[in-house]
Amino acid sequence: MKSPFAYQPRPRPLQLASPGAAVAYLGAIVAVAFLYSSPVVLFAAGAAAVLAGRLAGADRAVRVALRMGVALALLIVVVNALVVSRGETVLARLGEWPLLGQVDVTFEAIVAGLSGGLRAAVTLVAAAVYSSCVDPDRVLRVLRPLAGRSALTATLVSRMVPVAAADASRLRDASRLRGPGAAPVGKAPLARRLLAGSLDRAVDVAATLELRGYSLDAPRARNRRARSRYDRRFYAVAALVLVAAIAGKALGADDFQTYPSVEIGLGPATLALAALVALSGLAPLRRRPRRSQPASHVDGPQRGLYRSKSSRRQEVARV
Amino acid sequence: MSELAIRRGAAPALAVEGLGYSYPHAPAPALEDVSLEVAPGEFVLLAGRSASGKSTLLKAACGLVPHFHGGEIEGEVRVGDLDAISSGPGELAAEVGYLAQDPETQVVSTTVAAEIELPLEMRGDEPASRARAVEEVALALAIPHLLDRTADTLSGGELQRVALAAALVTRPRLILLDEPTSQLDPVAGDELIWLLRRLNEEWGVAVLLAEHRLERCLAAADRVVAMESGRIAFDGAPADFLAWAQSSDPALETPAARLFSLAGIEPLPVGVRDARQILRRLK
Repeated sequence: MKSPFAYQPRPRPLQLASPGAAVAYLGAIVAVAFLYSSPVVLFAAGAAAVLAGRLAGADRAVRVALRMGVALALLIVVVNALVVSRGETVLARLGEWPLLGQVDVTFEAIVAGLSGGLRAAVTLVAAAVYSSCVDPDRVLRVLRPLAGRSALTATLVSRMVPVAAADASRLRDASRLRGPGAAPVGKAPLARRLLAGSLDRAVDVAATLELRGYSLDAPRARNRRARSRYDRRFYAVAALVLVAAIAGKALGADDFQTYPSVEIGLGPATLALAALVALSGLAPLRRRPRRSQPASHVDGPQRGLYRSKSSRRQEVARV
Repeated sequence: MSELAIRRGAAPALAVEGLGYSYPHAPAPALEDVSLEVAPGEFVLLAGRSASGKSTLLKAACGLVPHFHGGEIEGEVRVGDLDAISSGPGELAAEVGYLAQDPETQVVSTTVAAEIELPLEMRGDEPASRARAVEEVALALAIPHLLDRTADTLSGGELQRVALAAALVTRPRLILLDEPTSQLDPVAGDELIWLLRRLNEEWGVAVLLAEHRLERCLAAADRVVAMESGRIAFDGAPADFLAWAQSSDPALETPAARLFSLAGIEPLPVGVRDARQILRRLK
């Protein structure tokens, strides 16, 4: 089964935007999560990431990332509650624990853990949206002139992961087909076989890259693709969110204290920043095309060159 | 004079002269004194058992040997105007395309369109000409409907066609295929061979196809070259090859030819159609 985080090309603004614009936009949301500890702002950043993913059509990736994010957040909350005994509001005294000593579960430690967990969840959801909406080929081609070897390694890895997964599935099937009388094949021999096979196949993939001309000097200027018309939107939203986040920080919008007692600021600066960050999730919203507009202009200029059959035909006809 | 003979007058698509090659740390050479010419537009079948040197010869023709695998090489290999021993695989990509056995390791991009476009992008072609070339090759291989799909959603046969499209998109003079049907079902294998024959006739691209199961591709070939232990053991027409295989290397006989020879029927059939015609004449 295909990974929920695998890239899926869709005619949506986030997928049509250039990798730089998409990274700037999603990076701004993550940056807010790292700059702020206030649960209000963190919830807003999470809402923005979820909204962006859903508007980009990455519902499955968002759902799975949210599930993972909630599990991770709960883990952080539990660990923080057990490890940190600071805070005035003691909810439970759990006595002496090995290694941890006296364990007092406090409301403040739970809220502090929740803040950290929220930050992790926001990062996970934003990473899932990036993974399923940004074409890795375009990212690697952007990187190739800047860091050829790293791009080559990343290309090999990105290709070898699905190939290794398919190999693992085949090896498992083959071991099952040996029948109940056969000696069971341990995980270690399977892993060794998989590793050896992957190395062989990595050589084949590298040979294919070589044959495609990957080792030629990267032509920079002529290789540059036309920008998407959505780029400006994502860059603008990213800049706005970052500037507002930095200004908000200076103006005290991150008014949040956990110890010795919890104080969550709900001042106008915090609420305004939270609203702005949450609204930034609407950036991938797709405008409905006007009927008079030709189809090829709806999705902006060339994400790739092959958005639809009509655009392909137009491109060829123009040539 | 046949069309092929006229083409033979032109500079060869591939010229190999006295080629010898040993892989690093290998006890014996993989190729010894191999000399071979492939004329422009010719369809040559490279036959031979496993480890007879077929794959190594193809790799030498596309520059992977010695540039990618290392080892010691002697002799001369020319693809069109390029010296394959001094030029790397990337430079040779404009003159020669290569398709290996495993389709899964030959598609390196996420989407089909990006995969086919990759060789043109690497050599710095303009976006408009890339679009035209991708469109043309996709139409020729009947895969325009796959262009927007991701590689992980394709079947083995579709992947093989996409890899072939990526190898052909630069419009090379020569295409090298290393057992391309070995991982395909019989129907997909037959389709690929006849697609190659059609491209060979319509585009004039020379084909050098290495196979050890010859029943499905012998009828498509203009000429057969058989290899044994790194040397060329036979070079001639498909019908003559069957007679040679019968006496020298029965493992290379096709099932139909073996059946005919057991039944004492002459001549031996090159393909199924040929077999039908021979049997009809016998009636």
